Amino acid sequence: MEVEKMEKIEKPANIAILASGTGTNAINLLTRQLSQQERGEESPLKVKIVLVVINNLESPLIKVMEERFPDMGLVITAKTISEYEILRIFTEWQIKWVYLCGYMRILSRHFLQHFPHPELTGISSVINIHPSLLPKFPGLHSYEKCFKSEEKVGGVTIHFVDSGVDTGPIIMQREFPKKMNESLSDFSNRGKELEWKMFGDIFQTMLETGTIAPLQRKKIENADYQPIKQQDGNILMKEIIQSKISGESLDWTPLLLKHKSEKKHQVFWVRLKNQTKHEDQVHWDSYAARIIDTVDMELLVGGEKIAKAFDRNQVQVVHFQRGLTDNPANSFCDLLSLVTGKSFEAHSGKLIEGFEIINPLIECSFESKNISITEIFKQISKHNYFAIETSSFDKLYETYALLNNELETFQKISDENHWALSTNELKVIKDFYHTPEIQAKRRSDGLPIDPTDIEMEVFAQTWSEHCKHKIFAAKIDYQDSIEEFTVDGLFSTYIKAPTEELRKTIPWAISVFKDNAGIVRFHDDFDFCIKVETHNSPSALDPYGGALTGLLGVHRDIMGTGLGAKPVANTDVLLFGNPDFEGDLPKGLHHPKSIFEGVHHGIQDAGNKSGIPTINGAIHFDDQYCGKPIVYCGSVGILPKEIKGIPTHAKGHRAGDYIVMVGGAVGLDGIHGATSSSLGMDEKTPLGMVQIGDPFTQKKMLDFMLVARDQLLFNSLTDNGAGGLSSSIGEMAEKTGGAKVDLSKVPLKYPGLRPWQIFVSESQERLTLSVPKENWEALSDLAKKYSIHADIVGEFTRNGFLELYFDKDLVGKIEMQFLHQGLPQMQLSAKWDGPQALQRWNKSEAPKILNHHQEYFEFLLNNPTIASKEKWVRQYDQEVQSASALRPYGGMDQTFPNHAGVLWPGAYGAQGYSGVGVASGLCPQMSDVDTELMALMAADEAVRNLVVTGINPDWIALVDNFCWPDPIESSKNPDGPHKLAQLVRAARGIQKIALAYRMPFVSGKDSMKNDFYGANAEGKKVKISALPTLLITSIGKHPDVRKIITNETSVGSHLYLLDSINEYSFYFGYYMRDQMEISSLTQMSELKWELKKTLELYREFFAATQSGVVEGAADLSEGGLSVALFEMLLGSKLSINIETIENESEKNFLYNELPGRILVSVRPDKAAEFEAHFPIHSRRKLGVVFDGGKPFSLTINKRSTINLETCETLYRGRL
Amino acid sequence: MSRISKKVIVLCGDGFNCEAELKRAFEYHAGDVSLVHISDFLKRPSLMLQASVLGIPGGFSFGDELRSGKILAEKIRKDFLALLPEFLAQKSLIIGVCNGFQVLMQLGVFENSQDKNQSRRITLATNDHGEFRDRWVRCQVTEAGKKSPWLKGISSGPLFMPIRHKEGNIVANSSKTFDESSLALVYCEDVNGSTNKAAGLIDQTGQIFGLMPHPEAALEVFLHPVKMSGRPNLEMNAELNVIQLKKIFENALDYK
Repeated sequence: MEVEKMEKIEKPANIAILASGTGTNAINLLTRQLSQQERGEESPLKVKIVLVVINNLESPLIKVMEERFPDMGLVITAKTISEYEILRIFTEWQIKWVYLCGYMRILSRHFLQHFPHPELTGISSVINIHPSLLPKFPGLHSYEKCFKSEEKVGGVTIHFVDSGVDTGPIIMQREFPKKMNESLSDFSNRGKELEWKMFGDIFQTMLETGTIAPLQRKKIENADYQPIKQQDGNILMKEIIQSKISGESLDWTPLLLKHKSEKKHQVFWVRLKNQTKHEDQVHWDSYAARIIDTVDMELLVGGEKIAKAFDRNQVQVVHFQRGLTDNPANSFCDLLSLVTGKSFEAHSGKLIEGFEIINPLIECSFESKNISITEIFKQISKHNYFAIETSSFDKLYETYALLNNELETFQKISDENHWALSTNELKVIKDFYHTPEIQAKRRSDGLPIDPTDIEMEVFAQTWSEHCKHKIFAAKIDYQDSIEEFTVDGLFSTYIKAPTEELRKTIPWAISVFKDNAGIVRFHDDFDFCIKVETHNSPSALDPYGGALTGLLGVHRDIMGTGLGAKPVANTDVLLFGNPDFEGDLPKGLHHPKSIFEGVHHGIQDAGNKSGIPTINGAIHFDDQYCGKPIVYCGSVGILPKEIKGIPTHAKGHRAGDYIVMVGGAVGLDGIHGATSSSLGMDEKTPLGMVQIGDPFTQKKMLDFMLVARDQLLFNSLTDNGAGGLSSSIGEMAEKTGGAKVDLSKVPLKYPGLRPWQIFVSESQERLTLSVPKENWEALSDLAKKYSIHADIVGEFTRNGFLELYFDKDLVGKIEMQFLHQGLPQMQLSAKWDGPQALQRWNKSEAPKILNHHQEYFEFLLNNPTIASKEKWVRQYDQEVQSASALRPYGGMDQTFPNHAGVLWPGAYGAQGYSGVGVASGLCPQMSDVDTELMALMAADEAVRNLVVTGINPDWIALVDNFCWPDPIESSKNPDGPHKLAQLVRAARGIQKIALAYRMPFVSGKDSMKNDFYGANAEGKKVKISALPTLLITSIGKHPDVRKIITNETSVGSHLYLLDSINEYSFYFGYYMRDQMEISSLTQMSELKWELKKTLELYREFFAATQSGVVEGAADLSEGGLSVALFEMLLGSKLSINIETIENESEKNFLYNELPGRILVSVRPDKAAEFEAHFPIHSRRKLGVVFDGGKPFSLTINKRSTINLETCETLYRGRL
Repeated sequence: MSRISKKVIVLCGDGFNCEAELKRAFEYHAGDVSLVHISDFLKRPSLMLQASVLGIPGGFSFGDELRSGKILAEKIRKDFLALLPEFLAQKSLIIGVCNGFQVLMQLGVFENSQDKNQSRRITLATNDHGEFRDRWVRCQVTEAGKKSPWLKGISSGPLFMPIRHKEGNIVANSSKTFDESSLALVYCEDVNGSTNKAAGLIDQTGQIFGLMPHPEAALEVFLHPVKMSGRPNLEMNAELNVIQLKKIFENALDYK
């Protein structure tokens, strides 16, 4: 093959201008460029301004740009545009240099890291002009300051920008003398002339030489940042080219699916399977019409053809890192085999005209500026490029010389292997292996007396915090200024015990805490189950894959409940750093906005492609979640009460049943996920945790499982999640008393996996079934029909051992009793010093002072946590399966938020019109006040969100999900005892509310190490701990989906506030803390709240909904009454005049975030009947709704009128 | 033929996920509906000829990779197209909703061209806003649509139902090739950039109806995004809306 010679034309480096003001300097530069261009070919530009960004909608520069430089790229934005957005725009435009022309904001180090000087290390390629002789007169109004000063001269400085204010290395500096008796404007005009000349000169130099350097080099020695580089595909490629090329395998053929109207195109590298010679050429052209959609696509085959189509463009070629699940490629192979009748393997990627930021953990990128397009494709197409590095092995296991080694050495081995076992746990293992009986047994089994790798891995998985919840099982000595006590297990004391107590009188809590999800009986013929998981660490590393596998994982928990339930709804609660975070992020962290977007797309793919609607959720922002985001993935499932007379809520596997793994195959994915999530995260966190899920395979597996279940082909199942087969088989074998597994029978994605890797791999989309031998054939046939794997990998036994074989060889054997009971209980101590203001890891801005209600409203509704998420939530299917009687947004235009999701089981074949509602509550912002109060408020909010839709408070169950910063004391975590005490108090809080509201907890989970340890750019250590966060998810029975209540109101309706606390003498809340008179955290923590009274109010409200007197209702949470009123008026765009309590408490009344309150809309003819339901002190009439035309508004005490239309713009446009 | 004995087949498997609701839409009118897995259909394609109505539901067949509906279309192409002339000749009907519509589109049944060798001219491309969107929207039946057995007698007032897709933007490879006689259902407002606000198409016989919105998901009053709470909803009557949408499926069972 002839190598195509392509002359590489040096393209000018792109410059962007950032301007806020009049833009005189910008016009200067643009004019020079224009005249240079007009001079023509003889002096080609070395740099080129391609883009002007103006962050001021009123700048006169906009008009000039449109008139004089119509061809120039132009972005006009509001002043509030975040740096992250600018960075994204610049990345898209491939900007290499930036000129600041009167740009009024300081750029963060994080931003500057993306613009390194092309030749000089330690300085940026961002250039600013400043009207003074720096370092004199930095900041604003420099001419004026200089003019008024004693200085004899004024001056102008052009400098590179660093993260200080006008402090970067100087490129050029000139002075001009002051004149006697001149005015300030004369003085500054002369300065501006000088600016014009200097800036022009510098730019001219750059146009000709392509670069510019600072005056003095030595100043920059202590560089304050390291440039960030995209994962450089070329380096990786070099490695591969240098590695030995062996065999005669066929190279990969690149196929490009070129879109006619888009800038992003799919690429597939394909080759025939099991083929080593070019004997069987594929005639791609003849298949084109069946491979692509010919209406708007074109098929290009081979690197040369692809290169030719893009030879004038700058392109980027991106593909998945090797070894990750590649869904497009798998589907493409399916298509190729349908079309050609042959079997292919493929890898997918994309060709982007332009440039995108990639995640180097999962993607690999090549840019055509470094290397020609032909060369890129030539190199990637080399046959061994996508090979997975697995090597053959001659030993089936390694052993660890445990018995003759000190524990310290053993601990080191544990750390190196990411087992996350403590010294105490290692000692227990060591002592166990030390006993003579065990040693004798091992000898007779032909096993070494030291543990084998697979055995240690099984201990590490089974005893991980993730699987065993050691902290929730620990014995804790608690102490605060008032009391001291010992808790023998937070879970058994505060969660399990009250639930067991309540179950004596609550018959509908069918299965709690023992299965993959809790089961409630809300229907005569069908049970519902609920489970909420977290996927925080994986989402921090790869937000898309993390959230995708998180939600698919919780769907499998539902599938693995009882005899197999069908997931019917998602609930997703997400907590991130502020989306417009500006400042320095420690190395290794993604920007919160990019985490948000990645997680969003993961949830979108997992929910939508599985055909499971997202009916409930929340998105919360706080910079304490910059280190680790919190991603709660919840799911609701349905299962028939019984199948052919067999109850479905219990599992029925017996010794002698086959252990069958169904779904996908096993690779190196996610090894050590369970153990790693039990460690804090740092820069070195293993990448094996990054995984991509495959919703299509899982959907086929779900379809298969439901049919097999209805035919009773299996008698038990569980999902393969954290810990893989080691967890699923280990757990199931506990019931029968043992299992025998042959790991050589497990289907693999590629050869070369060691037995221990097969056993603990967390490859997704798998279930473990227990299949009575006589059913195997039928089950196997069914799996073929659904085109998924099903393989017998072992058998359940009752001999008390987990026996692990690889074909005929025993590679590990563990006593079940020791595996499940041998873990010693942790002993911890907790100390609470009362409410403590949170230590934030980053400096927050000084609060903006607000003056009147309009500003208060706008401030609240513009807060990202409170603002509308509609734009994002709309991208989730909220109603597939047609059961969603209540979806996240309501009203004719579907703009106001609903408080819960309600499902109608009729869609799954159930009789009648009763429904099942799901809602959530959380308020981590109250954790610094007191986590006990925080827990009460979270649970109350979750309950109230159901109650306002018309759900009976006597038919509600709860789910708890704790996400805590590390509560164990250590040198790097000195305040562990405080955080543990916060955990104890939160757990006690949910016990209180469970007993007071009479609502059982039916499921729960905890994640305990939500901390990030890293360093900022200066090398200073940074620790970012998540707020103590408790999510309460509620599930309740709705009596009639035809009578669901939402935020609706209408003309003439009366609005009421139902209140069970009535505390307005001080500000209680979070969102307005900076604005209100300071109430101490202690004052808040001492809130008088009688839970019994609140429950009574809810019961009475339910009675009122049943008698049909309630038109609309809303809960009050963030922002209090103000936000609730706004959201109620939003759907109908109606107005109201309200009366609040006496003047001095007006603000508290409007903005307090007290729990236990409901806003209600009542038709006038029902008002008397409604009022009769409630005692006078618990209801307050606020006003009457009327049509006030445009804009709709809210008037408070006849004095201040708030324009809600401007509020709406902020509320809906914020995110 | 009485309605009870009308046989309806709804395809399922391979990533479809709205088969149950499409099945129920026919069952409201006592249709005899069976779900047939794609694998079973391919084993015995002639099953299709026993049906008076074939329903292809919404979902994400093959994960919607490459182009929604493409891979499934290739999977059933040979068998489906071989039987289609006979199926239509016996006056049977086909409906494809959302992903089902995308499959039919990829099979080329909406190419209103006599020349079978002509390359395809119309497709469902990515929405102009680039996103998947779930939202209830207003649609209207066109004059051409009213001639289809599927849409006969349906009021011309707006129909309110959800769209839930990313690739629902109907485009032709040139503006001249868009055949307005196939245009059966339009959105009342521009929701995704679709040519002529097209929401649904019929083939030349009028017997095949493909649409992006989901009428089968709006057949209960309480699924409507506005909850009545006992007051009249001035803008749109939810009960009436349900009656109109149900008529689509009733029409199919009453046909012939």
